[in-house]
Amino acid sequence: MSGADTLAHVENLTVRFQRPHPRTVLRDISFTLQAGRILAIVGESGSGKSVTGRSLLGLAGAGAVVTAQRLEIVGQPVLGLSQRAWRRLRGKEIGLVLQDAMVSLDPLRPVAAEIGEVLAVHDIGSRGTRPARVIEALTEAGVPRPEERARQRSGELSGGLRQRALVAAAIAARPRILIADEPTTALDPTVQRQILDLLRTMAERGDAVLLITHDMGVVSAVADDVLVLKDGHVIEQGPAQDILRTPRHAYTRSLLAAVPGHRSGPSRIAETSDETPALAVSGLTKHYPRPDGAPVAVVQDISFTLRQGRTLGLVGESGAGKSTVGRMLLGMTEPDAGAVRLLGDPWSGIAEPLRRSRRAAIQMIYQDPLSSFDPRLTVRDILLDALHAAGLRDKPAALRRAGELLAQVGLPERIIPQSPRILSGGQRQRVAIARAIATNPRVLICDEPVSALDVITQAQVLELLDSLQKRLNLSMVFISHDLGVIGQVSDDIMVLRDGQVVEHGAADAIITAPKHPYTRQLFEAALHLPKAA
Amino acid sequence: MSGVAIIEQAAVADAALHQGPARRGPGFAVYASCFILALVVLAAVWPHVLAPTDPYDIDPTSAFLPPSSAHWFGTDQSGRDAFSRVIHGTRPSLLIGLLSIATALAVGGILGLAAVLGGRAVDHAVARVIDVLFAFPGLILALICIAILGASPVTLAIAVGVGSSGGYARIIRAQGLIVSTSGYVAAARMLGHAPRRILFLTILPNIARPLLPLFTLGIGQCIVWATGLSFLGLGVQPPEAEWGALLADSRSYTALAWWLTVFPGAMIAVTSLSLTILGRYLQARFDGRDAA
Amino acid sequence: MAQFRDLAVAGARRLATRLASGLLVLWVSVTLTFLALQVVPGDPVKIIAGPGAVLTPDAVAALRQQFGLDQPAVERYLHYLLGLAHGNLGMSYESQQPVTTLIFGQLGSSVALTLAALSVAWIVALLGILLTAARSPVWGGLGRGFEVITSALPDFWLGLLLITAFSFKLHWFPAIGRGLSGLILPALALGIPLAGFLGQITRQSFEDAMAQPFALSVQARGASDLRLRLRHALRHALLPGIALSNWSVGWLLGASVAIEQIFARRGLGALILEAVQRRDFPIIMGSVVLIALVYVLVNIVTDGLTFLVDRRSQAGEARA
Repeated sequence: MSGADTLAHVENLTVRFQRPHPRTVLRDISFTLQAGRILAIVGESGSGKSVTGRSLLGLAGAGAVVTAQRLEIVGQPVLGLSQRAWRRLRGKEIGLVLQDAMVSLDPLRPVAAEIGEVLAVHDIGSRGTRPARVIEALTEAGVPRPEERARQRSGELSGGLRQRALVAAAIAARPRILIADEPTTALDPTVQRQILDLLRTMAERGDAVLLITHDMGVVSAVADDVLVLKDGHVIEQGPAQDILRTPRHAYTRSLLAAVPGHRSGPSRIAETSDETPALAVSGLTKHYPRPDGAPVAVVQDISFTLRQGRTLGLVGESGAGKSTVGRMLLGMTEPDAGAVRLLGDPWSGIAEPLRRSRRAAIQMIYQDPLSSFDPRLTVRDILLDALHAAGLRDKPAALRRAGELLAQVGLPERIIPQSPRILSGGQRQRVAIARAIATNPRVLICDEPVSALDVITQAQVLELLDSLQKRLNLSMVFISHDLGVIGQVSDDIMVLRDGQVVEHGAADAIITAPKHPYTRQLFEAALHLPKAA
Repeated sequence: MSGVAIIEQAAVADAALHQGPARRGPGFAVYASCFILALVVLAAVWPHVLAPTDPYDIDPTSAFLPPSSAHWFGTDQSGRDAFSRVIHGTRPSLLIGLLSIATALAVGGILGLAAVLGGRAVDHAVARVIDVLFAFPGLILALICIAILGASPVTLAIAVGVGSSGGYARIIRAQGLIVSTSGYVAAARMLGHAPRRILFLTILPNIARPLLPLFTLGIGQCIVWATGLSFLGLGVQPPEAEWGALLADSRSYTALAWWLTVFPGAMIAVTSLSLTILGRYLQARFDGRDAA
Repeated sequence: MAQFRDLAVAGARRLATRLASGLLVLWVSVTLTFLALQVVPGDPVKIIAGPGAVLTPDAVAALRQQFGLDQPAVERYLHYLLGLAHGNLGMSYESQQPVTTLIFGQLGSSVALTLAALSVAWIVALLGILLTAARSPVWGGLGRGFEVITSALPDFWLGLLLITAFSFKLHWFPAIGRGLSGLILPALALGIPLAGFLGQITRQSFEDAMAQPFALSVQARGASDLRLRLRHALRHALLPGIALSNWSVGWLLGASVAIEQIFARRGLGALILEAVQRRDFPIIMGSVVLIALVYVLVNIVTDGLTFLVDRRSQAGEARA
């Protein structure tokens, strides 16, 4: 480690907050940022990983007390720096890329103004030369047709372009250090891959990158070094290959195990039987009018059979029509053509009162369970309401059953008088699952049920769904953009693109030997961990 | 027009919602407001407890006396005790305010619910009426109502109610649209509940949920408007003791006796402020349950 | 170039929508008012002739004919709409002058007062936001307290206090609202409560903007706090305030009824008040028409201002 290549030196960094109550969020973190290398800081939300990055910018937050034995950026000690001196470093020596450029770029200003701002603030170039540098930065960030994009606002760009524009703004003043805080979270896998490649390119050009993420898959894709953080403490630290292959600490192992698709998946029992299929779908089609009135097919000619006790994974990027399929399966949207049969009987195209009496048999689990709970109700009211729908009207019996349901989804009974609002994301999803199974359904439609959850919680919820499926012999349609999750839970997989089936077949076959190029592209974009040693 | 405007309206109603962290306990200002409102209610129900002097007792020898220990708010041109007149003026002012907000919520509620529950055609028609009610400045609408109904305390209250009903109709309609397209109503449908049960146990209670704080905020606004119209001579007439009428009465002597202007107006301001603070606090609490 | 054409098309379409919805508001409000006036008790002839006048049946018939009151309601309604299309709003019962003349006579004074009050409101509100929003809890509390208190102030009482203090006691400003110095006190009485309302909603979106991730991005570029506030957060804060322009102007028009009385000003408020007191229905109908027109005009101005601050929606429409 030659000193010339060390762009940042951090020794025993500690961050305390005074408000709203005194607490230490980061304790004795030490690392260096080397030219040409990517350091990944990994941890769950609340581990202190974002604060670490922001401390390097002097933006740890209001009321933060930052102490360290040594804190140097490009050779300059920065502890106790004045705001004015900090501002000279920010943007010029260190760039910051945040999650989701939709909210990380000012939505009211064109991209060019956002990128140009860093140049104007640091007096780089002149009014005349700055536009050229803006275009150059966009080009470096891999934005096609940069002149046109520069005039647009972040809301007019696609997720991937937006994120690249954000990267362009961070690198416009050519800082040597780039801090990327969850830069790919919420992006589709192909776009995620492109952004990570971009970070790799930056590092290869001789910059230092600090990558902050919760996803071990992202780490394995690009990081040279890893620092695992939990509750503000370093758990483990070292070269990425060592930590990914031979994690020493149990927590690191649990993070690795939580990456979907890399657990020992549930053993899928292939018990063929000739009972009626849970769902039989043929030629399902749905059009929606465009703003100018012309109909657009959002779902086109989809057919499948879901056998009882099995799981069908519906995978595709945003806009593929997955959720519309889900709504039609639930009988909430009528298909324009095609039919759905539920447990052998017609389900689409029948009168709502008739359907209502059978709704208990098919239930749904949402990405955002909170919005599916009446805000006035407590956990108890939610469950009693669902049991009422299932015909259990006797209050003591219903209360007993509610307790059983909570136990089944692994929730303590003491949360029963609480509002879901004060529960954690994982607990809320468990309440939603308890409600869904309260009516003794045969089929569950799960629409991105774990996308909003932390990796470890995600793994726990998937496990819960799996065990419930076995115990209750549930059939599931599992909708997700995440191939890892889909591969782990599904017996069959259907790949959707622009409302059409790209590929459909047994999960094993599709995962090991995808036939369609689009499926292959999706798999290549998905992040894989190296096999554990 | 309407989509944008609904959000605007919500922005007005929700302006105070997000101020400061949610689920903060009631602060000093809320307790002070409750105390003041308790006094206001006491003054409205038993004015004699607070002000034993007769508000219509004329004593020309003690006209225009400035505030003193004998006459806290001074005396007016006829030597009547201004404090007593302000206290006794509470009842009509408050009653008119309450009748106004009741009218506003009734008119707004009928229009808003009709729009939400009446289907597409009704919604379109009602939305136009709501647009017009909302396009018109509330006070001007109230004035037009008075021109039609004639000037009296009761017509004043109804006029002010109609004048402010547009905003409530909009909020109720917007809230109704939010609730009826919400995830939890969809969830209730998916559970297989009957439409009637969903309407009465899910949709209507959730539409009504934000109304209590609106009601509290609305009384303050209605009192200000109604006293303003009384001040213009369109409601309660002097020598009747009512806050607006007291201010109207004082106008001829503004240069001579400032206390006749300051105290009745201060009562309106303090009452409206207390109702505003309490309403905001209630709103924040309701919102806290929504967003915490 | 194509972009500008798209924008122009989108702008024209938006203008047409605004005009159409304005026409609808105009028609519905005129119709509702006309219907309401049909149920009013009392004979308009008595109002025209003035209180206490004793008229011969011939004179009554003549007056009826002069004001078109001898015709059935449907005919009068269609006649009114026809006149409206030609800019004729009928004659005042009271002064027997054309309603349009009376309204135009008051327009200048009202426009001056409204613009002055709007300026006061925006300046006070924005100063409050820039000085106190998204700062320490103490400053934020002060700013919020000021806004809640001013928005709860009855405007007419504020007017009375101002005239008592600054005209009668200090003699700084005239008590009669003429000329520029006579405009200051009424503008303050109207503008300060409005500043409270505007301050509350702009503060909200200012603080929201300052809490957004993009604020962190801006700071991470090395921009100063002032730059973040002025160039980024302020724009976001302006939007809800501008969107409420229609409400603001309506509020000012309503409040000006009392304020014009207090400062002995002429204006639309005073005209409407007199019409209500004397039940001069043609003037009331005329005011309804005028307000609907103001509504359309302010909507168009609001669109323009919104476009200056936020070009997203228009660009989106241009694409769609």
